[in-house]
Amino acid sequence: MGLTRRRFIRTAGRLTAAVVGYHLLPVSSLASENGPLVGVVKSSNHLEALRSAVEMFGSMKNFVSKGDRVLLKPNISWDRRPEQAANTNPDLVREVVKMCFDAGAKSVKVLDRTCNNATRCYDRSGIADAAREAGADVSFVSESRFKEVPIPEGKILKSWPVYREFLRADKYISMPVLKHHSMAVVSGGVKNSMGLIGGDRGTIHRDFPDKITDINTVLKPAFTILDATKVLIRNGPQGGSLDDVKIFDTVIAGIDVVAIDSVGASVMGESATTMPYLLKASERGLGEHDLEKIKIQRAELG
Amino acid sequence: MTLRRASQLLLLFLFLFLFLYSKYPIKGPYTVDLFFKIDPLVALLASLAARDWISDLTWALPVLGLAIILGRFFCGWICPLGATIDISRRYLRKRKLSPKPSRRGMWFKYTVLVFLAVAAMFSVGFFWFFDPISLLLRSMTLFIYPIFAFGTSSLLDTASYIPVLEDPALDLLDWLKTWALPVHDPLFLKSLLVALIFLSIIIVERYSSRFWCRFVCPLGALFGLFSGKSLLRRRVSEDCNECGKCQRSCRMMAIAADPVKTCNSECILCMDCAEVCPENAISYGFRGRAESDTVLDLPRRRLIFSSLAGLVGAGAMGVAVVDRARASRAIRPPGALLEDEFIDKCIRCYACVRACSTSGDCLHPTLAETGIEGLLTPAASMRIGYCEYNCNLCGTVCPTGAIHELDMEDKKKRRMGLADFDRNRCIPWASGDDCIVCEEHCPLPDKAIKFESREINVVGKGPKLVKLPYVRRDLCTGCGICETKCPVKGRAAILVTRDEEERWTGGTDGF
Repeated sequence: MGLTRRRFIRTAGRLTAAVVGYHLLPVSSLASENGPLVGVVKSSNHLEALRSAVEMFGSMKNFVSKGDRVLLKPNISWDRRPEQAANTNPDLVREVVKMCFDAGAKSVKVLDRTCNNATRCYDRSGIADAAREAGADVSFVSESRFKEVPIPEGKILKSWPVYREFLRADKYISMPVLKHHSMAVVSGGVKNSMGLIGGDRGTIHRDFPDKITDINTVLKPAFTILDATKVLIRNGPQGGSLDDVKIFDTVIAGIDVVAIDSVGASVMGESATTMPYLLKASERGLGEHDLEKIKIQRAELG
Repeated sequence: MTLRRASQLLLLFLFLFLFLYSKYPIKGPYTVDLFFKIDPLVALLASLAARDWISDLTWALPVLGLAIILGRFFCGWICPLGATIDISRRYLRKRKLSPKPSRRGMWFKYTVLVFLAVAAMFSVGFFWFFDPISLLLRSMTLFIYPIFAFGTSSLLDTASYIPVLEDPALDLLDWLKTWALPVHDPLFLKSLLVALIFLSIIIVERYSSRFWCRFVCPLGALFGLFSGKSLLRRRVSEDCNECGKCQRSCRMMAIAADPVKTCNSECILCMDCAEVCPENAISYGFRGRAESDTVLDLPRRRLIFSSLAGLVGAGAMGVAVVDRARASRAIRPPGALLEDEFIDKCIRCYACVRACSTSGDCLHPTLAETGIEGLLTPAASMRIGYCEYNCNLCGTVCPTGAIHELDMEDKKKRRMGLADFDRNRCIPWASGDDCIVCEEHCPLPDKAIKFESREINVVGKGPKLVKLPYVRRDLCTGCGICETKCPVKGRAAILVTRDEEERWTGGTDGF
């Protein structure tokens, strides 16, 4: 029964997209009746943790259909090595690429608009190599390939340049890494969408809560996998010292990005109540921040 | 395809390949500055100007010594600028035999050499301007490669808007960007001067073959000085019927009025004359009839005049005014020598600029910011790029040691300068809104920008709790990423200056 409803909603979403004229990625509303589901799995075997977290939502086939062009966006922002935990864990990225292909994806594109020099980031994070090993198309963000997109629900931002590959993709899967962030307190899924937008991103920091919510009303992922295997707990978002990295061995997954960030923050010992952007996003209906109202399914594997 | 042409093409391709390969990550010694190892002009004059023998370039001396045996083979078989000039001439100039060649003025390059040597004796380097390898590399970095990259990516980007071409064009562009093109198009301001000089050298080929090599090139002149009595040379047998075909085909006009005579200091061993000789009378070897001629027409007055010019030129540099305000914002690469020594040793080859453009992209040409003596030396412009924390490519590729190659752990600690807030422009300080993009990007594990959450009274808004950033001067290394990423429009609200910069002196700890 759930399957039929899901298919109906997805088809309705596609029709809406066709009417509007550009790709609005459909969001599966699998868990909207009971409060958003967020899976939290801990295991020293990271791939097992990942698979188990995805299984709580059925399988990747519920998000990726046969013949889909998938845009997978990890965090590749910084010129740091994997053990410094500033970027997404490359082993997880490789595995998610495989999962997408197993679910029937025609192509999986992996990219990010980095903060440091892109060649260095892609190389030293290990993500370019890992993604290519699984057959993904890894490419650099091209400055000329952004398209100004209207933000109908925007409070402050009425439009913003968005990357063309996002607009061409059938599905967008977000793979942020959980970490400390001086301005935002915690960086997770909501902030991950910053890597697909053009323009002067520094200006987004001013009135950040509303602006990041505006952006996220357009950049909605079908599924989010939050990497909390190694977490930068100080001096984020890029750190540098291994003393600032704490091993959590955890993978968090879900559809509600706000809920995922709230759960992620609690794993780090932070709370959504200290994070203005999360409260604002929740207030504006982007998702649920209140841990009481989120259906958290936990598992700890041996 | 003769052996000589093959050699020219091979070396030109090697130059281009090494150029493309001189980018992050540099693995091994395969970078374009290798070409300076066989450039005796730079080895001698840079060492002279800096009063310090550049040991990395020692092998250039035997190359010069080879001219005693092989003549001016470098110009005809090795020099990549020579190869570029020859290839351009093939397309610019119809292959007609030139009328009776004139050899007037070919002494000029020797006076150029004297001028440069005298200036270098007074510690002023002008030779970089005239050195062909430096010139070609500079032109590649600032002009040729950016045009090629920009042109290709624009073409493919535009093509991708045609629906049927969208996927193949974008896939091709992505592939090129991964392997051959820069990720973002490098566009250099101030490259016009370099572009004009390079284009002039090429365009003049339409009117006069190997113009640069015959009249201007001091490296050619240097080789010429050693080639006059070369063992390997053009030899003309008794079969010569004095038809003069060889004279008209000689691109260097090295054959005298009497076609049996060769001016060895001008002959670059291209061997075209041997190819066109209808009697097969010409050969190149160690034995056989050879009579020599000379263009080395250097009466004393020419020598004195060019020496004086060198002296005056060097002196003029000493009285030139430096705009201290602008100079303090011209940050030198990490590991750079003290300013005077840096300017003496820098040959403006732009190997560092090329490498940096594939990394942080802060190094750019200067014009008069550091004084006229520092003309075209590279300096960091932190609004365009910054110095990547984990990078020291510039020191790795610098052929003369003007930028000392720092050990990576050392480089991360050394100051290029210091960052400083302009609190009148900084968003949190001036308007009470949150920002701290600078703090976010500071790469030091113990960040050099910290902040205090304070309640400040904002005019027109009342009390507001805001994160106020400040610089920790004891931690900052002046890398400039804060200035690059600062969202304030126009001049950034945090600026890097040469305050407290550390330069390599080779002292106890090197600094």
